[in-house]
Amino acid sequence: MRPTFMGFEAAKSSIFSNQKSLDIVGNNLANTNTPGYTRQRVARATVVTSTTSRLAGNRVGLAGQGVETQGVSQTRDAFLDQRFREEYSKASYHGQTSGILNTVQSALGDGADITDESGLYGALTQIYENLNSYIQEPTMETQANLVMSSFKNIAQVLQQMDDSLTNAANQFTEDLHIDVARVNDIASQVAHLNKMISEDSTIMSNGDSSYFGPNELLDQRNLLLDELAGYGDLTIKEMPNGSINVDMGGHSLVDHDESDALDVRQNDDNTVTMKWRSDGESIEMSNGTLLASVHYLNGKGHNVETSNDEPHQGIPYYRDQLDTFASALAQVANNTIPVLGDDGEPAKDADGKIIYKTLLGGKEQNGETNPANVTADNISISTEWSTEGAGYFIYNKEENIEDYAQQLAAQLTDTSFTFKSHGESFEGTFAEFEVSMLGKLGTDIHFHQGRQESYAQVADTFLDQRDSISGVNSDEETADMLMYQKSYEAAARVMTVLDELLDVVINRMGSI
Amino acid sequence: MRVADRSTTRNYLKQLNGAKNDYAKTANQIYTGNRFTQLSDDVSAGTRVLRTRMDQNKSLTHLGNVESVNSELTVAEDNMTSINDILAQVHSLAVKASNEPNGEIGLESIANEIKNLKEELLVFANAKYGEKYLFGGSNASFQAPFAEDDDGRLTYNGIPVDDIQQKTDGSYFYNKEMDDGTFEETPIPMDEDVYMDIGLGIKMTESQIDGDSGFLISCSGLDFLGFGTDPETGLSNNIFNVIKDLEESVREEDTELIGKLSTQLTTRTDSFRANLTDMGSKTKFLSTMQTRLENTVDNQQVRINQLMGTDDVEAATTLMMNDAVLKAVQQMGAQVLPVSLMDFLR
Repeated sequence: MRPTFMGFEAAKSSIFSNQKSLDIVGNNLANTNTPGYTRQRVARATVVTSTTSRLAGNRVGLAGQGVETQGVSQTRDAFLDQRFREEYSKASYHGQTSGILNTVQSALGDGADITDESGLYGALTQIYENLNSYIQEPTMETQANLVMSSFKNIAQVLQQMDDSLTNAANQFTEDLHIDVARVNDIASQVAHLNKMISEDSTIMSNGDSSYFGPNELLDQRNLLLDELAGYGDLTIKEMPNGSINVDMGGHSLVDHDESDALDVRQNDDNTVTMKWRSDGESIEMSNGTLLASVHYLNGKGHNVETSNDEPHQGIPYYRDQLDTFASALAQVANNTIPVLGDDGEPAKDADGKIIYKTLLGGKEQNGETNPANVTADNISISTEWSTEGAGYFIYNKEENIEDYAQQLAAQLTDTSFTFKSHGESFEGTFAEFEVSMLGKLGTDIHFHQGRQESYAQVADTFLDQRDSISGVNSDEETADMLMYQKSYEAAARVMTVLDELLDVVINRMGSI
Repeated sequence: MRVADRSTTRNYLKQLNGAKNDYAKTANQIYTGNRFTQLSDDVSAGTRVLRTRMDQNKSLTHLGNVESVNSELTVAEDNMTSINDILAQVHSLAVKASNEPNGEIGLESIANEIKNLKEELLVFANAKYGEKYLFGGSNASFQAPFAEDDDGRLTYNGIPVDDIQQKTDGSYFYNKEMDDGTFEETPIPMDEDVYMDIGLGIKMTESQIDGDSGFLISCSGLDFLGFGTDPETGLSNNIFNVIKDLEESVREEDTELIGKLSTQLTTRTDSFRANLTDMGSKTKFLSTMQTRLENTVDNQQVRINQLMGTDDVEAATTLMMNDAVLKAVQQMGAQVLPVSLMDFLR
């Protein structure tokens, strides 16, 4: 037996469902370009005919009860999210690395512009030129003055480069603090969203392991996770209550509504240490910008000395290289021009070793220079040279005798020297040392830029694939809009027909 | 595949950005004339450019050295030519003295003329280039290398030239009387060899330059004015002293000595001219070196340009291509982006 008003209920359910669908179409169109927005769909099902009647009979009487609007779902593929985040994390590591190394390259002028004259290369050339002018008139104070100013110049270039590298390290450490603060902020937001999502009473599984949940909150959470993936590699586990657990670098970052945090500290040696706040464990990530910052802020290359150092060629590595250059320069300059004795021959010490003039030294707190401790940071012309003036360099004002200046010029340009750092050693001229240093840097930048581009390409592919599922297509929405509109009109028409039918039964039946 | 509007926009912006970047890159290559300037853009070419630049700077320094040495030697050569003229005049005066019919008065005036020429010669021998004595060995503007002693005889850096002898290696010495009355071979002060790096590949043993690897710029006056005495005749081998002796012998009307000294002067003049010719060949060698170094610098510049310079034709073609692509992408943006089914609904 069919209930009299059953058809109205069916038409009403259709009208409601189509109205809701139109709402969602409108919402989709409104959010076409909203970051993180996931396309929504109204899930519908046919109303199931009840079979619990005690009376014998078939279902015909109760068939056709209309449509059930089950909920509003998101169309999202968790696998693509995961793949995108993996690739994004890798691309971010290489992007941050090439950013840091590019700053190093800018600090070392010759790398940023190989035609530039203001870097170490130009300074070396200037010394060579001025020594050669001096060689032509080796007793002239004015020429000796030029030699002194070219040594002053190279000392200043080294100091300025070291200064730029220190500033860059401080800047990137500052950035790391900001990044870590952001990661901690994201973690607590995700924990908070987890709580809100899991407490949403409307949540239920739709059988496709996705939820009719608070879609907007899910979008917010996904957007935060995308951003978080840039900082480090993530493992995300979905829980039945709709919340997620996030591991970063193998350590739990978010567990339901609880979140851990990272702490970053700058050590005395300018390196940085990053630890988990909860248990003080070191952070072991495999990708992301945080790892890149740690690698290249602590990277000493082959010259690793302490447990804080990383084996990557980062900012400290290039500072080390500048120190090696500076100390080698001082070693050559301070062991070439002898102090002349009264007999006009080089003076000798008690052991019979020639005493040389000290041209360069490391400036100490008291303003004096110490030739035994020369770094790029403190290199300067020696106190002796600056006090006695340019003439200190001249070995004999009466006569052009031995070719010490020629020897110095040759040592600085043609002669191979062993450049020793803490663990690394290089054999070659000063210019070759610099080219080799810049070459290493250039190759690293080239490599990381290349990796960054290729990972970003893959990440983009996943982004496209993800968008092909989750993104809004306005054509499609418009077509759907037309369909729902027609469907709504049809339901309204059914309602009119039913009304006319009942009019027959109620008003006209029995009257003649 | 379903294409979301977001993807279209994102990909379009990516393409547009790419096309703009390509355009800017090529345009920059054309403005600057350089294919790249950052080492990391082309590490292998970049490091080669840096090496070549260092070599080029060295070559330029060598070229500067050659030019400067060349002008110095040219001045030296001019002075030597003047001395040569003086020698010719003295020579003719000597001949005139041997046949002087006017007796004492005539000879006196010849002697005075010779004296003047001798003094003139001394001025040329002490000629300077800038602050440096040209013929003073390593004597660098300290004091004039040549001077007359109390007897009017020539000294070189304070040592009488007649006392100076030469070793087989070409260096000079004199026997200095020591406090104990013995004599010791002593090198002449301020008469070292001074070399300049002119790109022959300087080789050094400690602070000494290997003579073949540098260019000798010091010029010892002893080489061409002469030193010591002739073992056979006992006459001075030094041109100045010969002229001085000639002046005196003319004054004393010692015809025999005039004859001997004339012969000695002729011998020394020949030797002097050999040195003058040698100086000429040195300046010629320097001119050749100058051309060679200029070519080297040019070649190095060509190499740098090849490594990092922009190929204008290629860059201009690429720019046209970039321009076409950029315009096409922009046009695509105007047509593709806003169009949707919505635009076609009534």
